[in-house]
Amino acid sequence: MTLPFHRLGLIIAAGFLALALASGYWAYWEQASLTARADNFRWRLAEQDVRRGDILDRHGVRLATTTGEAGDLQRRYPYPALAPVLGYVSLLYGVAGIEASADDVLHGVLAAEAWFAPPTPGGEVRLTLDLRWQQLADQLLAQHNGALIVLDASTGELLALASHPTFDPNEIDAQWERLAADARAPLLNRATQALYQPGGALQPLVLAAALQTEVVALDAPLSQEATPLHLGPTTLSCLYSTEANVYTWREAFHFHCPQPFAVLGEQLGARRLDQLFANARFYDAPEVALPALAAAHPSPTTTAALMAIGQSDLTLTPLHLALVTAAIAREGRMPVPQLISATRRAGGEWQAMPLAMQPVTVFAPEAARTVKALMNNGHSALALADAAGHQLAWFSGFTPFTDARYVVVVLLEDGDWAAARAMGEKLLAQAPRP
Amino acid sequence: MSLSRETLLFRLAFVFIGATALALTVAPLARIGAAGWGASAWAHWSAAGIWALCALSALWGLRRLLPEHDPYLLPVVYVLTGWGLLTIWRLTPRFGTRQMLWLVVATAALLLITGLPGDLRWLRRYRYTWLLGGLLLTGFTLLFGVNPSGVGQDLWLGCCGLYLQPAEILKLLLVIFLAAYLADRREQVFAQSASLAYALPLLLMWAFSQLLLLMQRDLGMSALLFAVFVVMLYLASGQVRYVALGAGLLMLGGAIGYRLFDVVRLRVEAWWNPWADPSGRSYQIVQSLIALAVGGLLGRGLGQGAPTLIPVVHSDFILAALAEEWGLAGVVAVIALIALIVLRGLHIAVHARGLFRQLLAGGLAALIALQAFMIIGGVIKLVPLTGLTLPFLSYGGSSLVAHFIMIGLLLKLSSQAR
Repeated sequence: MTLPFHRLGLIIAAGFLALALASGYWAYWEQASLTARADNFRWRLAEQDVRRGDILDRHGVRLATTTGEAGDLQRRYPYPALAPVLGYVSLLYGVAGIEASADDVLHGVLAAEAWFAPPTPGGEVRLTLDLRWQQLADQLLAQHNGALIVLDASTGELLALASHPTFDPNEIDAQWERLAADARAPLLNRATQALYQPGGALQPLVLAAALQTEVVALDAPLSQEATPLHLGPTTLSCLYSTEANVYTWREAFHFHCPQPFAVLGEQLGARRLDQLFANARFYDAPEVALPALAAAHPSPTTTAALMAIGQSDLTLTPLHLALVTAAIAREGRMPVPQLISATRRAGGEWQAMPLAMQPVTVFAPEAARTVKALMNNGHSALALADAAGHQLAWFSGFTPFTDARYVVVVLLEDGDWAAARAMGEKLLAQAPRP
Repeated sequence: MSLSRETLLFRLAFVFIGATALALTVAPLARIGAAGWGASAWAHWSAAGIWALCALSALWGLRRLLPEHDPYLLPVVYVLTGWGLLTIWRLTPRFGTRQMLWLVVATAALLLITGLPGDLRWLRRYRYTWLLGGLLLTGFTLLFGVNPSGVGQDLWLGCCGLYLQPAEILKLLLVIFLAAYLADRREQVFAQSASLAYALPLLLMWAFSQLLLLMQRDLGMSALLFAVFVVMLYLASGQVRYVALGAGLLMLGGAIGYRLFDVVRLRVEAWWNPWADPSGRSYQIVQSLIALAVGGLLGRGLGQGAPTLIPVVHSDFILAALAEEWGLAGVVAVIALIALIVLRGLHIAVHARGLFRQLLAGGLAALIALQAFMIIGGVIKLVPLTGLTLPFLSYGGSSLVAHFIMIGLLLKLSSQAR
């Protein structure tokens, strides 16, 4: 009569043993993979107990700081428009931007090992950004969707990096659902993370390559008569003047005419253009302590003509174009972009951030000099973004002319090239005079 | 001899709970240093004090009421409840306060059950009354049911801040009914030429309980009662075929439920592949497994973890909270302590006088074992998650009182052994 009870006891014991073994599986064998999961928010909780370090601009202005008392610390961003660069810290949604890439420096450490010892607060990060440039850039970009970059071409330091629409990182937890669902993608940093059709913005680069390889001479007549260019349902014409007035390469560049560049592309050939884009580092993601994208090689089926006028399937980020513009302004040498200039541990000394790589030479100094002279007033361009005829507006420029230092690139998703040029010129006018 | 063993175990329990309370007081110092440390670090000592008073009165009362009783049950039960109480307090002091008051009620219920004169014949005689009362109470939740947390299934009856989950009482009353019915009618129910007429009341009462729980969508409790029913049929008959049949029916029921009820499908999918939707429906289970992993073998230390990342951790998922701060060692200790209670229950069953007492003790032991297995298995992804409390540890007054009544019955049965 007692046999079923004994058997039941054995079965229950076996079941409980299985529970212990399964617990051990998660606690021991799967420990490393589970604790490393992005949705393990534990160490993020420490942010409420230990002060996270500040993020400063190049002059020491606080861009991100921590307020409140231990146990209830809050991350504050006095200049919220910089959100696409600074990112955010959220218990629920993790970290992004500089907050993510410099997290090792910024976050503090709880004194779990050393009893009664105060915790170690986080370190500080100094950016290359200049809040004055940045404020102006954000003011100018205003309601336009797009990106605006100011780059110190001599050092590669980014002075302003604006991306609109932006968001308020102080309210990230409350607004996340809306931001993530917003079709305008406010969480995206358009300067480094969005690939755009370059269109006519490639003209300085292509012309420099053509001059360097002596495919063309600047004041030689065009090899074909200039005509408007038909691309699907859209017709691309000169930005200024009309095709009828264009006879030389200088004029073709000056009036921003697409069709002569299509002819030039055919003369250069797809292989040489692909090599040119590789030299210009289009196929590399710029290393700037922010998530950045690289261009994909154009597909083999595309034509050299489309590649040369920036209407192939090669797309690039505004930062790519800023770096190429810097190379044109600086004798063909492309600087290494930099966003974090120095870091400092709590109570320590500032340590300069080493450059991610060496500067490279994109084209010969003579070719660079010639194109630089041509784009002294900046270069405007349109790009056809889709088959529906939706256009993007680009502007690239630099100042001053001798020993050029400040490079500005503007991208507007609404295709308003006059507005893009106005923004670029206003920014360049703000540059300190030598 | 047995009493001195009980005394020794109680001393160990007091040392353990005292050390745990002390560790909780010191924990903020270790975490954020002396700056964030204050009077609040001492608040949980009120819970530890009430626990000690309850434990001492239970011990004292039981020695007067039942001089001969099982020496293991009481200390083990109080270690688990003390551990659970401090864990709940550490998670949410507000719930800790309520659980502390429920512990007083539960201790009184335990003493009341053990102190009732005579043996348990009154339980057996009025079996229909008990079960119908339980069913009626559970049925009320269909009409007047509420959920104290404001969302979720309405499984509670309540008023004025006091809530009762009738299903917790119903499961206990069903075990009493089954033990009484099977003890009286065993020959007829299990005879070769079994007449349906004898099995009918049994099946009807059981089917009615199932129907009620299904209407409430309390699927975890429904599965638990089904399993207990099968186990008790096996204990009464000794025939494995009931277990096989029960397992088959449970599978079938699960398959039908999977097709009919979204709740079942979502629970099964969240169990089979929680990684598919770790931020949505599987959030709780994935966070629970992460807590287990963060705890590792020895845990992060008391007050050093962040178990509150798991939603409603103080209830179904209390073991995950324990795992993070006590590690695998704590989890295995909890499993071993519950196993000890269950095995003592079966020991009492084997030595009980008469079939009713045997089945009652066996049924209560099986009820505790199955409930613990289902909820621990759910928390560690061994079986699909069922919304049950972890006996003695989870937050929940009805569950605590019901389990203390069950322990009271087991103690009573142990004192009247052959």
